[in-house]
Amino acid sequence: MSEAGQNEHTIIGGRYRMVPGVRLEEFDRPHVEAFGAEDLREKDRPLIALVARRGRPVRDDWLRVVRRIDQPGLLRTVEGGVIDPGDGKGRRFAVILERPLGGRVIDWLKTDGQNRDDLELSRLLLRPLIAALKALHDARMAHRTISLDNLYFADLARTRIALGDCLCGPPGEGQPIAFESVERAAALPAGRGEGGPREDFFALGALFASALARQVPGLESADAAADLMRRRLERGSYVALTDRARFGTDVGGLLRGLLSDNAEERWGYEEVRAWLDGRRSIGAMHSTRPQAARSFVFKGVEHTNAMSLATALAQQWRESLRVVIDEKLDGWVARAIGDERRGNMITQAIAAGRVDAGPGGDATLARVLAALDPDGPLRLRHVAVMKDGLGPLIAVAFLDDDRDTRQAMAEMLMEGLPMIGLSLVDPNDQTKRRLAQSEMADFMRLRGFVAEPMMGFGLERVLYDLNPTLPCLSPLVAEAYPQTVPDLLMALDHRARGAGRGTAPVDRHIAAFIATRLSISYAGALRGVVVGGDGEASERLAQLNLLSLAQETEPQTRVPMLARWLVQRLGPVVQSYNGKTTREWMEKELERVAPLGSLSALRAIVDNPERREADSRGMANARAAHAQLSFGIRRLNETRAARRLEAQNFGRQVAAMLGYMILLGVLAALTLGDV
Amino acid sequence: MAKKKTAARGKPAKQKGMTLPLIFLAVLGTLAIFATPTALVLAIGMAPSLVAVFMENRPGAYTAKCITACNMAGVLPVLRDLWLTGHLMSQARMMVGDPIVWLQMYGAAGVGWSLVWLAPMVAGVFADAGHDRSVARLEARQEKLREEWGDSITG
Repeated sequence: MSEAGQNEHTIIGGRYRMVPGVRLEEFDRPHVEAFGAEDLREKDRPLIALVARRGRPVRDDWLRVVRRIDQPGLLRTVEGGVIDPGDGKGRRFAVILERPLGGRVIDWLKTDGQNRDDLELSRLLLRPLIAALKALHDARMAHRTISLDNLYFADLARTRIALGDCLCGPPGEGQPIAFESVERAAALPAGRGEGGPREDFFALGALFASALARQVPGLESADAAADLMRRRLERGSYVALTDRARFGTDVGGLLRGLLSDNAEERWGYEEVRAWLDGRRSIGAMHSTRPQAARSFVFKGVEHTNAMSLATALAQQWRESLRVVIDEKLDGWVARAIGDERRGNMITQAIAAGRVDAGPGGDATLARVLAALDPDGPLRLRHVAVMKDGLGPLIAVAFLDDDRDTRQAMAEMLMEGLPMIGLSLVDPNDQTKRRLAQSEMADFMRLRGFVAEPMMGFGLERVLYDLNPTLPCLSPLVAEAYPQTVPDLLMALDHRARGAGRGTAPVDRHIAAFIATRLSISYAGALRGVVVGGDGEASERLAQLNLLSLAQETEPQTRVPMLARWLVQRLGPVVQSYNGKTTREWMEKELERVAPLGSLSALRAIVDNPERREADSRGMANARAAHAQLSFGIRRLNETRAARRLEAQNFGRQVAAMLGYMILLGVLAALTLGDV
Repeated sequence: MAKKKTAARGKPAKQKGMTLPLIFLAVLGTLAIFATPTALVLAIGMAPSLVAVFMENRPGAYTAKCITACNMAGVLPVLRDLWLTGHLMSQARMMVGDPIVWLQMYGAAGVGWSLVWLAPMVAGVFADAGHDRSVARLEARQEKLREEWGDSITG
């Protein structure tokens, strides 16, 4: 790539340029690479470019919200967009942020920050951060990337602490397990979900606790994380996360408020602000999840709450279903937890489903766990995902080509797992009930998408539906990062230069991407477009029809190379017409129209119902005429001998006439006296 | 039943076929009584016709008619000479003894035979040619249809 071309591709918003040659590895985070950046108008402005690595969905739909926020506690996001760093890995999303001049807070905590007392640290840390979070929450967005390695000193003097980027990855994935609320911590990192202010304030509490302890619990190993999770489930997050740490009473009260496992009781902006202003109060003492009257013993471990038990059962998936049935889990839920509705739901799930090994048994256990722990993640085999984390996790499963996870996600939607928790909402709470009904309708729609095998639907359709700004992941165009239908068409046009006749320009990703962007939400609307019937001709015509439909959204987008690609593949469609004259006309017209780059024009040539009808009629007439001619020939051959005889007889008559004429001639001659 | 029908159909044809020779013989018999020299010339000169008349079994008897007409055309000049030279028996005997006369009479009959042989053959050739032309025309139209609509139109 030329330098000019490279420059062009590294400019965001026409003003900010990422500098590919300047790597800033000290600002790298998992799935984010840091580079130098410059403002083309203000050369002295210190900026940094964070480029999302391939393989992770990003939250670019929140870019406009984040750009508007100017708070000291949040590194200013000045611009964002898609660039090509020129490293051969294709185009990626990147954000330009103000450069944190004082470095990472975590490094400072281990050195100069060692001597700061708890209250001083709380003022330094919490005051700017709660203001930044409030600004985000007021815009209905949660940060969800709150962690010590994403916390910086914005200034050289290290007086201003600010949170870093929150757009370059799935929500919650970048947070340590200790920073996630207990429900979301049980989910896979990419499936922790969008969350809300309560999740951000929990993460803030965990961040503060970690800053005080100068370490993040659960990061040492997978066992440490599992142990932390177990302790959080049994003893509550506050106890588990502040284990063996000694705080002053004030700070302890603040942490108890922020780290409450009961989301309703958890402290928010007002409480933390009041605490910082000196109106000290103490968070609720009962910060753990509701406890059962008696424990349920599974694998020798006593579980006293539903989430703890659900997590343990999900970890021992193969053996759990038998235990659930034999140990009468439904009775435990109904009596020990005191929730008869959930108990009944478990009974129904076991009665209605299969209880043997295999997919049927998996579905039954998944339904049981969804009823057992309606606030926790949806669990199926190795997958645990929050309802609002389905989109990012499906995206990661596609980006990582993780078939097992994709299969599990499709089964979850087909089994209606998200709807089980929603059906357990308190019927007397009108607001929650309405919200649940609306969510239920959404999940029903998604289930319909998964159930439909037609191209344009399936799990790919769910992927683009739940990730509205995700670029099309088709291998044909993924490098170009197309986020809109015209971008996709242009990417295909570019791809067409190297495409052979054997490569189809539409795959399941492209079909689903277009269907989502065109809001074609029911299969019937696509039936005539993407499935024409059996055979190669129908398939290729369907591809043309879908792309033509896509082009109609912005008819000024011209794609001559894509049109040429399609024309090369339209042979079977042209051959499906019977009339040679029609076919020759079509071939000539397609060649003529292709350079114009209008797919509708191509479609009008090969997919005209009147022409098709005329062709069929012509074929029928030709068949009839051919049959009639065959009959005529047969008839002629059959009568050949008879006609010959008739002709010979006629010859004899002629001979007789000639004889008479000779006789008459002789008579005449004799009469006239010449002979 | 079928045999009966065939017989019923064949009977009148046979009767009709036998009428002409009988008339021929009756005329000759009458002439032998009243015009013996003429009858002699006719009996000898028209012998090919008599054979043809007896052999003819096709409806219309065009072979016999053609040969008879030609034969008659060859015999008539001989008769005219006979009648112009007095219609004498001696003259008649002299004439029938003349090979040139024989050649004239039988040659004319031969022309008749030739016509009968050639005319059906030529007519047959023309009929075959016409038939072939018609078939070729229909096949060409079929080929044109096949070329436009493909081989599947035969299905």
